[in-house]
Amino acid sequence: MDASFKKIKKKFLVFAIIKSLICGVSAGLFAVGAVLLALKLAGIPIHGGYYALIGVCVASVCFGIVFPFMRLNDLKVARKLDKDYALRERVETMVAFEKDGGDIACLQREDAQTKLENLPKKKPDFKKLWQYILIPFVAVALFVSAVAVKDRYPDGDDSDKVYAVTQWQLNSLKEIIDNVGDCELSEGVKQSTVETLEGFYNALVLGVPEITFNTVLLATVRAVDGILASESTYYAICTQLVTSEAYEPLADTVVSSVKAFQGLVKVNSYDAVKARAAELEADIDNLCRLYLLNGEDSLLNHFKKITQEEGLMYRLNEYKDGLAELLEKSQVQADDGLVGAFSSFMAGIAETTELERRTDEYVYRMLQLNAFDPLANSLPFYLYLQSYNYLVDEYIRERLATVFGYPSANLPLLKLDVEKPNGGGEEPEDPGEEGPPGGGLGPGDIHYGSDDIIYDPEKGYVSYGEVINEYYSRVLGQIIEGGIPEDVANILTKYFDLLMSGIEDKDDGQEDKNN
Amino acid sequence: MENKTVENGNLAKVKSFSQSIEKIKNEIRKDVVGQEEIVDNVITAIIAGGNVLLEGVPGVGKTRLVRSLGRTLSLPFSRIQFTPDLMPSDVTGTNVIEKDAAGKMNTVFRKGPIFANLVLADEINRATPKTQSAMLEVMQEHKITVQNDVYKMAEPFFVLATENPIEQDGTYPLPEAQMDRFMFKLVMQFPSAAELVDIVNMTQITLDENAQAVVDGKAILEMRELAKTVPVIDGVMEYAVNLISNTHPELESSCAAAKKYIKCGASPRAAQALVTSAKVRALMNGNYNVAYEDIDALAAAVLRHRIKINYNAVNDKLGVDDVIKILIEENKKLSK
Repeated sequence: MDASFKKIKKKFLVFAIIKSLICGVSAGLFAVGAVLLALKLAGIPIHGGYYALIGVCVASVCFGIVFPFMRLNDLKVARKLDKDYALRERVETMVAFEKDGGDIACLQREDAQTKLENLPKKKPDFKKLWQYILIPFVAVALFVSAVAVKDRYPDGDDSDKVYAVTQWQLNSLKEIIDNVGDCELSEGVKQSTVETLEGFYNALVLGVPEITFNTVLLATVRAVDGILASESTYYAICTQLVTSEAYEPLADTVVSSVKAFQGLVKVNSYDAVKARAAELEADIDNLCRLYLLNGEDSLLNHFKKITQEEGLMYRLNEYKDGLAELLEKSQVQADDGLVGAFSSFMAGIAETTELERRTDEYVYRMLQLNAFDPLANSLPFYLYLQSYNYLVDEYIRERLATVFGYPSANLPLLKLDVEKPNGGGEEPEDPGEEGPPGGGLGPGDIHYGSDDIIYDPEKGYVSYGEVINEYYSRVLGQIIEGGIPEDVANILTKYFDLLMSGIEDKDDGQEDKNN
Repeated sequence: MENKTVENGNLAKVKSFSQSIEKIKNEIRKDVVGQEEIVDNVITAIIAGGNVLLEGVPGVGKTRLVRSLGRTLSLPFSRIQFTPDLMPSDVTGTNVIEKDAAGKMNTVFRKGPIFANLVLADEINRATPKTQSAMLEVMQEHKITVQNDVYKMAEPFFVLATENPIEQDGTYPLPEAQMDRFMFKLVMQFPSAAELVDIVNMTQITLDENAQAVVDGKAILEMRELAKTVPVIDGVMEYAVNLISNTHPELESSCAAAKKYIKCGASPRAAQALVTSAKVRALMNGNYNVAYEDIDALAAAVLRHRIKINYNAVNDKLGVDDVIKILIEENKKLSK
């Protein structure tokens, strides 16, 4: 083969290699850039070596695919030369008939070789060159952009980061658990509270994702609140009592007594709990006596100001019957301590109203003996129990906030006060009539939980309000153990929080969240 | 394989090819003004061993061209004026009875005007089909048969037939079989104004024809043999063959233009004529291989008398040459 043709063919081969390399490198850069960008946006970090591997593999494969197409054999080179330089198929004929020994064939070869030796210098075809500039340019641009894009999680994916609990925190939590175990809570409540706290402890040991730690902590606090408030029958009772002005003093007695655990400083240690508890019963006793017996505005003095002529017996019976009705509306179990105390109180009133001797002084004395003294003696004990629950709850909340560095002001509020309905004494809305859907526990504008009847697999048909705390505890337990995805956990937490906080009805019947 | 050194004798032959062609053209220019393409194609056909059908109005130089050609090529020339009453024996010759010196009656064959190297069959379409068919055998096989006797024509043998495109009354269109035996159909156009001035000036001086002999029949045959060895690459061969195939609308592979405008396509002789004449053309132009442009340049001459266009072409005001141009373009696209 002619030397000129061989030289040209070699040049074409070099071009083919260069073009294939450009395509290969561009493909490699493009692949690396695309993968890098995708993984960065998804927040998935991988070792840099993988990117290099991807780039090399893609570049090699692309080169291997492109080069055979770019590489020209003798015939293709000949055709290209004929076409580019308008050689009238001279070169192709020369290549096709290179073995022909005829005179014309020899002359043809000489003629073609002469033409090849005198080929004019051709300017580069920029129309075709632009693609070999544009493609790598785009690939490099993509690669550089991918490198420049910030990681979605600069320090790595926070979803994988575990909350770095310290040994001191674990020890402190253990101490809280032990203290709760030692305290005077009723067994059922104590066990539930300990289990909840132990669940939180175990979750910390196993590893709680950092981004969900606060959620888990608050869930634990709410769970404990719920458990300890589960025995707060005073709330249900007082919610009914405040619907009637006549019973507001009684409601105030109860609420104030329950709130007696609160001091000037929040209880942040078990010693403080014990110290406060030692005084609490006496304080509640004094409060009860003050509100019921001894104070100038006490309930007993209120009745002492009414004479027989003014219908004392009638007023007592009316009071008793009204109280009975409200207790029934509160739906608190009859075996509840408070209900029992009030029942004895009502029995004492009934006994008084059945006296044959009805002088004012005698009636007053018997009223005190039969009803008020027993009430003042029994009520403090049950109120102490409920107040103690809140005392322990306050300890647990404050201690958890301190140990885990959570602002105690941001903890969910403990709802102790019973809000009096606007206008007072209004009958609660009948769930069957127009009003908030799903009924609701409690009169007036605040609805807590629901009295809708649901089917519990274990208990059968129950009121939702009876089981809501238990359901909440179970859900919180699963959240702590990580058995519920975060987004679902947030929804569930808000749902129960909403119900626990109550939903306020506006006058126009629209509901509004009450945080 | 190493490039073989061309033997000096053969090299001389190759180099003399172009020189001879140039000489022939120069001599013909002395008698024929213009018509360069016609002259080139006629020379091509002679060297390729084909016959030419020349169409042109009277007075454009058809007869003068053939006569000049005959003188230039040193070949005996005869002219047959075809008329409706011309008999086949008037063309081929016939047996006559003659008394010899001894008084014996013998049958002697009197050769007709066909017995020449260059034959001008003037207004061939005026003769009857029977007379036209007498030309069939001699044009294809270069021999005639008269009463079982076969007489071979001297080589090179070349028939140049003419047709008058104007006076079609009383003419007999050439049959397909005879049309196919013409390598080319060439259309002589009316000369341009400048050419007409030259013609008038030239003929004012003399009506004599001045072309001189520059080659002989043997040289033509040598040139013919040489032209056969011009290499054709497969691509060009396929290109030529596809062009002919594309003239057949009944073939599935033929192009849309063929299906739309052509009634009948060209025969395989067209492909032979195309490639053979392309080789000669390449060599005439000083090239040593056949190129695509050689095929394109000769396509019209080879195909215009071999394909029949249909009414779609007529309706679209397309002549046969227009359809051939479309076919060439389609063929170029397909070959890319």
